[in-house]
Amino acid sequence: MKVHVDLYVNLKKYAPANASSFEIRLESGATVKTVLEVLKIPANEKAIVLVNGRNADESNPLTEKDTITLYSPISGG
Amino acid sequence: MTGWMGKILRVNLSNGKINQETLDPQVARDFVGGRGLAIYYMLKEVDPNCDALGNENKLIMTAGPLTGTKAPTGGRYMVTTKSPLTGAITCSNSGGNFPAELKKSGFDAIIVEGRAADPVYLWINDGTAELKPAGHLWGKDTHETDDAIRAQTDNKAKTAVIGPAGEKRVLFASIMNDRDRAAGRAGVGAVMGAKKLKGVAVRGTQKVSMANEERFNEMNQKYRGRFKEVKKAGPYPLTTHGTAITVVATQAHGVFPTRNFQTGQFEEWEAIYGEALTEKYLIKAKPCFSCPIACGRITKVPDGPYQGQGEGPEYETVYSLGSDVGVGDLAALTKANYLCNELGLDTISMGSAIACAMELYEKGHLSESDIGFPLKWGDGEALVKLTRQTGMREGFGDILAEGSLRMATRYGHPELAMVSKGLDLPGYDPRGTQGLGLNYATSPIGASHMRGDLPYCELLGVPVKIDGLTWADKPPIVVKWQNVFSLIDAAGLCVFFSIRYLCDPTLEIRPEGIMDLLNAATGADYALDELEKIGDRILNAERLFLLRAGFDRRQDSLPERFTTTPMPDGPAKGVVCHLDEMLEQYYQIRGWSQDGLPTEEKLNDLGLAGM
Repeated sequence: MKVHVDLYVNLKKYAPANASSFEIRLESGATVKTVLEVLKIPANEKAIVLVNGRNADESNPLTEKDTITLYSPISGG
Repeated sequence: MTGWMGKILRVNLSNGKINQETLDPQVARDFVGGRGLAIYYMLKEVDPNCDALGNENKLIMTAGPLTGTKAPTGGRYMVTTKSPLTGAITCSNSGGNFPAELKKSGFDAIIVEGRAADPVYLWINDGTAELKPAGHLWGKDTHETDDAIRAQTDNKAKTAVIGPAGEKRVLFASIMNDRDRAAGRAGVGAVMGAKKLKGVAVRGTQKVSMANEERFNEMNQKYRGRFKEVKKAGPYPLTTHGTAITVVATQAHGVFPTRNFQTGQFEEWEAIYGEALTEKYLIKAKPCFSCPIACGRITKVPDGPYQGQGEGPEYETVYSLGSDVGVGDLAALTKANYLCNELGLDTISMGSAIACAMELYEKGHLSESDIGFPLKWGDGEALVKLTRQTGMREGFGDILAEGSLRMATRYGHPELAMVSKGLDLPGYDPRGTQGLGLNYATSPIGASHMRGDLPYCELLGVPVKIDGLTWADKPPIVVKWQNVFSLIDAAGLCVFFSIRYLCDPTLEIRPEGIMDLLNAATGADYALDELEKIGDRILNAERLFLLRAGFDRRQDSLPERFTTTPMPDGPAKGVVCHLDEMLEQYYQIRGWSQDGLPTEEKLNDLGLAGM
């Protein structure tokens, strides 16, 4: 399946070809954790995870055309 | 006393008398300082039903015991008064260097009373104070005023001044300190203007003494160390890009207020968020006193019709003068921000009033002949023009100067003003940040994001990430956070550092670091429970002022847009803010009746029964 990934703030450095908004292909049954592994985002890199703009975590299963958003914690606005 | 300077400066503008009073140690212990000390004096001395712009209202500037110390972000002060915009209590917080200088000049607080016959400014120099004529400064903008006052007093003095907006009593005029830092909300600048007080200048060389300096230094290193550890792991977003980086989170959640909160995603967000600002206009980051973060932005628009230099924009301004008015031109919104700083206007209420006017215009309730020109979403030129007109009360700006609620009411559609208790909402749609919706409705000053800021956990992942769309779990968190935020504001610290590094990293946010620093500075030997109770006391004291000013549960409200109209699209599509359901539980936890009144038992417990 194909999913869309948006990486922001400090997570941008894990983007392939330096494009922070991109699509990737995953096997069916993939979860957010699969995306983190494919992009080689280390476990100690703190990331807020959203799937289609909603709260999610690593175990969140993914389906075709989902958008996964990952960004660093921000302490103030 | 240590931590506290032990002195209050009382200035009566009507008769020119200036007195120094001793700070009562028990009051200091019970209310700490800053926001706490200010509400103590407001309750004791100001009639909640007075005319906010009349002689009876007082303007109170308060530092906290950690202001002016080496504590991380120990550089904040609070301006408290009855608001001319809302009729409620207001307290507006600011950083920069003025607050620390105030403390070093020997005072914990300034209480300004009455009204001068002719414009004056207050000059405080290391323990002495005098009023000086300011007729020659009347009409000058905030930067010109800062330059002139420092030239006449001491070039090293720090100032807090008003611009033309405050003089002309624009109901959301700000007080600008250190040129570009704002005590912005709910018209504190209009109160200062009504008193004909153009500015306060301070110079101080005194040291804030410590009860246990060694322990204080040790605690300072410990908590700064927490920040350093995080910073070591990678660039710190607030340092690199300023608070406008927050757009990433609000846009992704679909709560980035767009076109007067008609939707929560702005199609041009990438043109105005923190990274765009860094790339295009950032000159350098600027810290407030004793701050390791440095979220302030010194920027320059180098050329074009919006050429200029100054500070900002920060997140709230990117929302209010950007997405909320549909403006994706970063130069135009930055220029409007500079104008707000120079004229002395709250950027949130300025943008919100223009957004409201744009929706009134879109829906045909306001015509081109009312305004003098067409007013369409996204018109950067109109944004800049109306900002200038508002600060000067010229043309349609004279109507905008009354704030969005009065304007929308004038044109028959108060429901289009995005306010709670008359104060414009900051940049988070409460349909996707349910806890913040409860914050907005119950904040003593009206819609504020700085009175228990739930977006930290609902959007930003600090200290942990929770779901912004759920509501049943929010009331207990809101109560805890409101109490701790009151304490942060009383201590003289900045929320940005305190919430992440001076509190335990759970939703309980127990203020352990604040306790350690306060105890080393003051020797007060506060217990953690006692400090949390002080936060509760401050909130309830502010509630008492509100109730006496005629507010009750009916004003703990949000515009219908949020409680009855589901979000039309984006991740929060179909959701409304469940305010009524949350309020019921909130009042119970607070120990208030279902009418929103603190019970006698509650007031007794907090030591507020006699006040």
